[in-house]
Amino acid sequence: MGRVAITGVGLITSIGIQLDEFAKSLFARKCGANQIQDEQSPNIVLLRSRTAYRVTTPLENLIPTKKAYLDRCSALTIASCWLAIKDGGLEITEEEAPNTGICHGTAYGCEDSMLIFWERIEKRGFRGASSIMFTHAYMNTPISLAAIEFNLKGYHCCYSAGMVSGAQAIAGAAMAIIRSLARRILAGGAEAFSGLPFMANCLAGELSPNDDGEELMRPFDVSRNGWVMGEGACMLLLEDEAIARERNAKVLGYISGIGISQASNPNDIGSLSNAIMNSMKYAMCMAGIEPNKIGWICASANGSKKVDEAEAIAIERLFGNAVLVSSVKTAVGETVGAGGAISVCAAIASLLFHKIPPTLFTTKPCANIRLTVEEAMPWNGDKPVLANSIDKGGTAISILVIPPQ
Amino acid sequence: MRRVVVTGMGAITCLGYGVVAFWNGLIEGRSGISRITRFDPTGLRNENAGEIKDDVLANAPLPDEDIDEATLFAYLACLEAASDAGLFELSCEERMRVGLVFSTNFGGAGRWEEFASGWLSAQQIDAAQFEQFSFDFATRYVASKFGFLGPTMTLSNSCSSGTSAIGVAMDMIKLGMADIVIAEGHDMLSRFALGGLSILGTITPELIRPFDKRRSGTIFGEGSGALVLEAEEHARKRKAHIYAEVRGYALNSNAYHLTAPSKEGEGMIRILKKALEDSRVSPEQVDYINAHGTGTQPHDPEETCAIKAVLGKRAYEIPVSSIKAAVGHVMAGAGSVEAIATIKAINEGIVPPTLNYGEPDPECDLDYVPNVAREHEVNIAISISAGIGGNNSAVVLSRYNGARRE
Repeated sequence: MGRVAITGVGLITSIGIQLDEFAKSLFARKCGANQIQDEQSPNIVLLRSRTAYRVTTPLENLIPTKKAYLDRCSALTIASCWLAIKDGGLEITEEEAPNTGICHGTAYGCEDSMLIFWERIEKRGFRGASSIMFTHAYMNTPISLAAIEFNLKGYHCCYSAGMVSGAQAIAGAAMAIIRSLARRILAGGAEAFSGLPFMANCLAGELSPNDDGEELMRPFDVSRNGWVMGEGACMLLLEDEAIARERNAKVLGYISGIGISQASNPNDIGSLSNAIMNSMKYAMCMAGIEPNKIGWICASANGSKKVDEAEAIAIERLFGNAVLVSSVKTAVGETVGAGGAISVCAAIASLLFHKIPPTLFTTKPCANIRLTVEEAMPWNGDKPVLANSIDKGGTAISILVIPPQ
Repeated sequence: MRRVVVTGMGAITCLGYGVVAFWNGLIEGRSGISRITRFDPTGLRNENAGEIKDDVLANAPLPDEDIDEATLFAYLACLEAASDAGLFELSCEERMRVGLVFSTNFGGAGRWEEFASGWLSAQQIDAAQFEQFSFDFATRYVASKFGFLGPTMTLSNSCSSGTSAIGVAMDMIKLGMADIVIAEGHDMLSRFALGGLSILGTITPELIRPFDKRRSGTIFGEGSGALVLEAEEHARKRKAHIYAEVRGYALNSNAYHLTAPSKEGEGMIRILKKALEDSRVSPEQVDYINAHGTGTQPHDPEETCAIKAVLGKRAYEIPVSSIKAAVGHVMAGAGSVEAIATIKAINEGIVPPTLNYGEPDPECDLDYVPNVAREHEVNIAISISAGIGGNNSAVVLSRYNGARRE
């Protein structure tokens, strides 16, 4: 496959806004977790999990025009698009608008608006429903509003596939650019913290603590007991390499390989690790890069008993303990639909700042892999990075990011 | 790049289970729209919809698991399509190269309603209900049931989703990420969806009448359509029956308004031009258009305007029809079942009619194939979709010609 240039980043996380602040926090071992205080439903009080990684920066200042109503997922999406456009120095003229698209992923979309809409139907019947709330409750509302806000008239696709939603959006965008269906695409994902998915994941035993232990995300650790929900957004400006060069855009890195695979049985560690291994193999194969050329792996690991073990097995089988591995989720949380895009951002940060982020809170890895745990590790930033994204349902995506030249 | 062909199709709609039931219903001019029975529709602008009744499901090969209706529809359509294409004869290794691109607007909406109602009333709730609402639940379910372990994606481009899925599946094959990909769209009728679409005024209180002067809105339906897309050389090697070729596609946004169409069909004009460009097909080569044709006041003239702007005088020489009055607007499934209808038109030399058409509208002045199917040779056709949020998609399909060169 040809290379797709990354020429802008729009990043909103619980540890910082934009790449510089995010990288600084990441390498300084900052953790964005905080206690849930203000949920609208008393149900959450009854749950064992009480922590989340929430964005505290006001989003209003990051949105160019005031809106009468915006779901938080839409606000995160618009804000991250705006940041990416500015970061990429992109001017979307009327002439260029049809060549500029957007691919956006989210797992839960506008859950809060959905719930408000549904509550009205429950209380007042169909005739009492709110049309505004309905149009703001679609899974593709955030992407549509972003397209309207920034005049993104080109390639347009919304993805919803749990924790790999954002990675699918980046993969889909890269595919479209290579196929010459678009010159440039804003691609990534957003996830807002919302009570309903929090409750569902907690009841499903996904969230930490799913045992009697401490509530804490410990990727790959033998004592891990689930993940902690996060919120955030990350949109990358992806461009055809020649187009980026033509406008003298600063290239932050290139996407040169994509691997996607599916486990036949996500509850079976063997099946899941096969899918993860295949996704990494396919990405390297597409890029024509051998495993020994990989600089480090930005793992998907989030403290899940099952998925972390499968990812560790897959990495060990493919790389032995020859490659460095790290997970940034202890810093920003499991941001679900945004997670895959944030991992790509972490890869970019490592290439630009020459450091590999640490995996916080992990002290005893569950497998024989080279995990960076204590501190950020210096490196040359001159090798490709694999950014993994894995959904608990068995979908695995690997995106291969290579350094700018 | 590789050529992409269609080697299997499956459908479930209110006209019945299977492509045969679907196609026969279409060309016989039947409509499957009837009163909703799954829930009490009182208070909706229209109590009718393209609902899949129990008698249709009674004769279908249902799975053992208790799954939501949306996933069930996707499963049944894929089962037919995969059987039709002979995918169950593939080895485990070959199935690693079979991908899935599914799409839905509302996922397992019925299960979400149960979960949300439980939450609001502080009653006991089941996490499995929320899990089945997940938009990729059907994708994962089918992958696991059939052992198709290639790349998967789940799209949600509102009512243009099904067409979008065909395009993305095509990309996967062209780029060598898979040899075969099932492109699918599904949705179920739910209180959530119909409540919203009703209060928006999208639903007509009367009959759905695409392109007719008296049109006053659409009627929704449920179901799924699945198409097996395959690399041409792969299909030929295993001697699969080839129904048609997928020549190209395009996706875009009006970037204008969440619900109102773009001025003078600007977005749709661009989508048609781009799809033809990707397909290397000229407007003069187009023989038939399967229109989005929802029957809403603003949409049908917009689509007509776009077709005329792109096809010029050719627009007046070819049939343009909408099947939504027969099966309802199947939401994410619409583009999928409409692509199947388009391929059947290519294969059979018959174009399906636009039902309930009676009074011409000066703003909609094309040949909409009123009420009765028509014999017409179709070599190249376009299927168009559009959705809430202002997104558009179009796919160009053609009769398969093995001698054609890319």
